[in-house]
Amino acid sequence: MTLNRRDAAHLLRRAAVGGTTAQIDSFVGMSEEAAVDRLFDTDTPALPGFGAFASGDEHWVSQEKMIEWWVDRMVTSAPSIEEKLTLFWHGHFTSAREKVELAEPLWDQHVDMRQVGRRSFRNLLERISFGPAMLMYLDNETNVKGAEQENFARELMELFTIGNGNFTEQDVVSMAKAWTGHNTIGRTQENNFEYDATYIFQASEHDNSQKALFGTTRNWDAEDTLDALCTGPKAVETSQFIARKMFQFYVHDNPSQAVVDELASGFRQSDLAIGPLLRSILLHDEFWADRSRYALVKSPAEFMVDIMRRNGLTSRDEAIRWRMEGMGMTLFDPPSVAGWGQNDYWLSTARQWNKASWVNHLKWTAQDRGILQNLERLSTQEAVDEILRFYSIFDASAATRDAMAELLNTTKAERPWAMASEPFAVGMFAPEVQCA
Amino acid sequence: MMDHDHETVETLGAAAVSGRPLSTMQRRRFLQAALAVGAGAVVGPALTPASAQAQASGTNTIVLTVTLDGGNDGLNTLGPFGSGAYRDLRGALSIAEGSAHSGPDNLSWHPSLRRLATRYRRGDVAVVRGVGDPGRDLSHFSNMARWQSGNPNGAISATGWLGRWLDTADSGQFAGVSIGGQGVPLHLRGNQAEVTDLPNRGGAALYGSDRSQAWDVSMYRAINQMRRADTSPWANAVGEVGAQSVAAARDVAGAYQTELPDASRLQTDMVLAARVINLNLGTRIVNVVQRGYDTHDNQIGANSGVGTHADLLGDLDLALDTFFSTLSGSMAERVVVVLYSEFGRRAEANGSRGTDHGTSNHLFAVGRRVTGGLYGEAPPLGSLDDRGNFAVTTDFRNVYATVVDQALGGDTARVLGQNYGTVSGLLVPEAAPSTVADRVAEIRGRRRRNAEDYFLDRAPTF
Repeated sequence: MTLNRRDAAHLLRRAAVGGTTAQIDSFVGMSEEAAVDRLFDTDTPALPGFGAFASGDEHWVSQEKMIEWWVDRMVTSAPSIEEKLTLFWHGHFTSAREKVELAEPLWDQHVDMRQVGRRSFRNLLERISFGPAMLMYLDNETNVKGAEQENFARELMELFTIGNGNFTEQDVVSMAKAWTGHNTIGRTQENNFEYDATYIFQASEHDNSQKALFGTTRNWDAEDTLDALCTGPKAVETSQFIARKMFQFYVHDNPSQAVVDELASGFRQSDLAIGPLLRSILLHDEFWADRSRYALVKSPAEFMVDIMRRNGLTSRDEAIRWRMEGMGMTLFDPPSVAGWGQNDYWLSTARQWNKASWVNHLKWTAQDRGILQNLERLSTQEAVDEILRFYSIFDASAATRDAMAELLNTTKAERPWAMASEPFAVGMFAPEVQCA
Repeated sequence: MMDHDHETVETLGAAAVSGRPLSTMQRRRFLQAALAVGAGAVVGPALTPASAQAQASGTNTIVLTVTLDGGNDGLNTLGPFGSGAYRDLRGALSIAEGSAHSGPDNLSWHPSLRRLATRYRRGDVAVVRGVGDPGRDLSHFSNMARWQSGNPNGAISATGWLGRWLDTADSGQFAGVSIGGQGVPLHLRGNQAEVTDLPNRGGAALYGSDRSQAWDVSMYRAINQMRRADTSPWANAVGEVGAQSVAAARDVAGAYQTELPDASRLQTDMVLAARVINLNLGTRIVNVVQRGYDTHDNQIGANSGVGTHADLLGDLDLALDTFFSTLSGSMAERVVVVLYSEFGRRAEANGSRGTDHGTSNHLFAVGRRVTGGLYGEAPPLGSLDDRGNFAVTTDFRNVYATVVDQALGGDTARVLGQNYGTVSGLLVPEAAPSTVADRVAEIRGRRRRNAEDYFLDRAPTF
């Protein structure tokens, strides 16, 4: 099958963070495989070092710069899998700035998600688990022998790998013990009691006792537990948990067990290589099926980035950061260790009012920028097509088209001076534009 | 189309006059109709929700749930701070009894809870001890989902217990309100009930509140038309919430007319909760969230009065007073505040000056409709389960049954999936409203009895 405009738009909405109509058109006529490969192979801009965001002790300022950098990168970089996949991991291996406070560990974690995020899940899990941001966020920095604490141990299993119901309370106890001594340097006299977030293994604080984990009693250490989760007794659970979650993020929220089993089996056969799993998902019949089109609600990041790209906006324009927060999504600050929800999580009157107030403001900016000019010269149906083309919606419902046509006619008759702003706004309100 | 809409308007006008609540579907159709006939019609009085809606189910109690997210440490909130068994368990996390506020039955309130302790002495706080979900795991997410679902056997569902009550009540889009703009929590989600989620800022920009401009009304109409796009189930839901937000905006705008205080998130949210109740839109259920109770480390600072937990409880203590003092007098009589968490914390402190996930917990109910005192059996400190957690002595669904039956006048079996016993005496039966003069005399009498009341009533108002 070769991609038409509708298919190409669907692919870019899902595999990437959207694309302009010109970008979408450049995928038309390609086979599904070639199009997906291109998204995998597209070069992405080089990553800056943390120095680009450094701001002395003002970690909050650094984090703001990181957020702006990421938003702008999503807006301006050519469509590829990297930004969407990073959003996926960002919501999976969460670490919130509210707790971590320091900016550099969060940046390092983010770089890991980009650099390892399409490679081995086992390696990614290791980078994240031993990374200072996670050590701080889930408190393993203070998990020591004789005074274990379970925050990381539990979430490692429940949220990051196998899911609830696949471990026992005994497993939590043993997992916490296995991770004792894997801490951060913390505050030391040598460093004037400045907090040092560097990972350190403190052998004297590690519990070397025999521990029963997943039915095997031995002297488990942290690395062993990751093996057990990824390739050992819990490999099936982990592969299914990740495959299901990734399918739900990329396709729709209700995969059959058969589809999950199929994807998870391939995931295990490739030694938990993430890229091939994602490729299988994007090339799955279910991905291209009619029922998967517009079957997800765009997160505020996806929605805003898509609109910003079409308008040439940057993160410094239009109070973008403030708007994002109002819609419920501040990057680097997920609401809980479970990350952000999906679909209905984004649907509430409050979020909608924030979205609508942005639309209502942005329509004047768009008009100033000359977007959707000259609609009054077109027939109503041609003008509807023009609005939908601007938003890259090539399969709009009849109700959406009718609503746009009526608005165009009313505006043309009563308020010809608003023949750019109102059509622009009604497009943003269309359910098709708010969905992915 | 037009004829049909006019008919709808007339029917609804009659319904409003007769005091019958507008169902969600009726409201929606009404909005459509109003938009169809033009801006002028929208301003008609029939769209103003009748305060009579509040009487829909024969009771008029308003339930505010405060979700203490992350698992509040009940033992350090109200505990036997003087007992040796307590100090053995808690070590460096122990609250110094001298800094605490004395409570009932050899218990003391955390140093940050001065106002709540006073309120308890006034008889307006009920403490249900040992509340939990028997025999469950220790996950935040599944515990919160079970608490909010409120089903037999701990089943997690897409609807929550208060949402299912809202379904049965069908009393308009303000019957259920979530505060803070962080989405509608599971316990308020029903099958059909629309819940209004209020942002904790930016009320001036409630899109849909301005019906004076023709171009806005044209856009509202387009939004309403696109609701029928039928592109996908989620696209439909997007369309619904778009129309719902436009329909709700004007009615709730009053809650933002005075700027919200520049205070903590919880203070702001509680002011907003009080204001929306004061608008008398038929609100029966409100939820506010306070995050941050997952105190695995640094739960306590250099002494009992400082640290993460002390800060959270201090914020909560002030917020409760701010809430009650922002409520109008008649509404303050009608509200029951329920403070709950997904679980309590481990009996013994961990090695990080914190506590890990636990099981049973205190649940607090606050307000004039509450009969103050201790309820339920206190789990013994010396008898913990194999994870070192307290026993569950009261099933949380017994508390829910009490609320559904006695505060909301609902059908417990229908809402909770089966019948559960109620916590006897927790809520005062609703009586015929007393006269204003009676109430003033009673309040004055109480003030003379307890000088601290005076200060309570001087809590900051916004």
